[in-house]
Amino acid sequence: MRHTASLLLLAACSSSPPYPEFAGDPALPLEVELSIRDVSGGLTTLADGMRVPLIEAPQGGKTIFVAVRARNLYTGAVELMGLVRDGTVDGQDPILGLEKRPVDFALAADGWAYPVEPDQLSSYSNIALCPNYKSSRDIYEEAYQVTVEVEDRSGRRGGRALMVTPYCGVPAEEQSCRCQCAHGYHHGQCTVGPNRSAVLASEVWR
Amino acid sequence: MKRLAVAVLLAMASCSGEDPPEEFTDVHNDPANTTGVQFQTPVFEVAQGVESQDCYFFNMPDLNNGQDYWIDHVRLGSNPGSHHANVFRVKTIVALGTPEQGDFVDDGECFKSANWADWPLVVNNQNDTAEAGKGYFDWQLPSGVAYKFSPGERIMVQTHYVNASTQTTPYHGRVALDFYRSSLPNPIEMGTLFATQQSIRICRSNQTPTYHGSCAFNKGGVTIAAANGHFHSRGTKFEILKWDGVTAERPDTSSLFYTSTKWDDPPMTIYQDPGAMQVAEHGGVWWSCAYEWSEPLAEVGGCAALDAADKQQAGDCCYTFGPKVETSEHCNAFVYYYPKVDRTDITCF
Repeated sequence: MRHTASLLLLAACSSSPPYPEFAGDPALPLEVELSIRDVSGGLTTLADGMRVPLIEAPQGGKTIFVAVRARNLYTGAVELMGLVRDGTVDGQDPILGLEKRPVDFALAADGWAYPVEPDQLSSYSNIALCPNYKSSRDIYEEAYQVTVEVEDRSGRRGGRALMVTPYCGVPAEEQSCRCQCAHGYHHGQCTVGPNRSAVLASEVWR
Repeated sequence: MKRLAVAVLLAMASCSGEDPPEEFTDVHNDPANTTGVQFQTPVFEVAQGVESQDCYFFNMPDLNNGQDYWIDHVRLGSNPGSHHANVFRVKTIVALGTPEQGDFVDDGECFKSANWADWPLVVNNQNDTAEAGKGYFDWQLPSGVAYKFSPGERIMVQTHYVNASTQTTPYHGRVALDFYRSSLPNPIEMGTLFATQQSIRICRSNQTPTYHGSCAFNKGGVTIAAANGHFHSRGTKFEILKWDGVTAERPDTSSLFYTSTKWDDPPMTIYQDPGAMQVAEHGGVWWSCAYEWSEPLAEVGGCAALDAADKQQAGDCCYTFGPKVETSEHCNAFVYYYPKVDRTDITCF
């Protein structure tokens, strides 16, 4: 399911941010719905078992970008924490990537709160998974657990965890992605040929 | 002594600012380093209003009959006005030219952060004091620990000088690097962890954000030897904590081992008690960067300049990730640890 319509609704609100205000029902627990961004910027609602694209972030690293909408929380500044675990041991297995960031949320017409600047990568959880030094498996085509937790200014917290299977989401970067995201990656392991112009320094500068 | 790139001392008829006082001396290589590796840049001008970002390259010499060798003491010096000097190993290169094009790159590809994925850190220095003899990060590594290098290994010295509003270069720029050969028979290998939180925005509408990142070592049982953090003038507090690698919460303050509240003079902290700096299995570091937005100066273009540089075109006067001190921000952690495991240093985005 695409969230584009909801995001457009939000755009109408964001010229005059209606926050802080409460989105939803204070008597209910904070509810979170996650979406995944693809390489063209489209959003797909995240479901258990879904394949999710690893994308070379502008800053480098192969990253999954997880979008959040939430309700039953105060809008305004919200803390997003996104992480990916190995997923084979419930709750206590190693975290392969984690980051936490503040994002401004505003109430949209559909009753959910969305990031005020929904198109910005900084409004997503940017969970960098590669280079991969930690996982005992390849990152791509293997199942991992992605979690996003939300906390508003009042301390209300909620989150969602789902099993996903990352894959190399940009065909032109397939080779470098599979190399950086492979089990046992180390610096200097990946060269991707003349089209991407990355070559081993030791081969050029003998 | 192996001099790989002997500095070409340019005649500086007109330098960046005032004439240096008599007691001032440029940073320079250590004449006592007779068996190791030396590199120094030319002396160069940094004009008023300029941020100068350059990369110099050299290959490690053959000091051991074609075999790997060890370095257990590093000395990296910068003339005043240096924003940073970073030394990386260059594993792969992307659009960095050919040997025929020389060993110098001005700006460009060498400052593109995506390339850090394959440029493991060796050493960095943020010290830029003008006090005579104090512009060096001079580090004898912990007892029994050394860096390993291979003959021919490609090294990049990245310099960044600023002569603008938030930072000035009073005289002229120069960086000097000494690697001292180790005589240890079988040292423990030093590794580095370079971690950067890059998708950041410090905006007029959200003026005091804090960003957090995490980075795990590939194996447990390592000891942190030194650390420092790097951000620009909107940065108010940089913290690095030991992290167990499994808990999705900021570690408590007992795990805090590095704090910087001075963006322009961040400490390089050397840890003397190895027993207190060990990291558990699965563990790593958690770091955070806190910022406070400030009105950009008119001479750098004010909010219009920031808005023009904002790829998202939010029109919110946002400082975003980038190397320019005046108009962008950083959130970079440099951590030195041992033993290096499985042939690799660590880079986290």
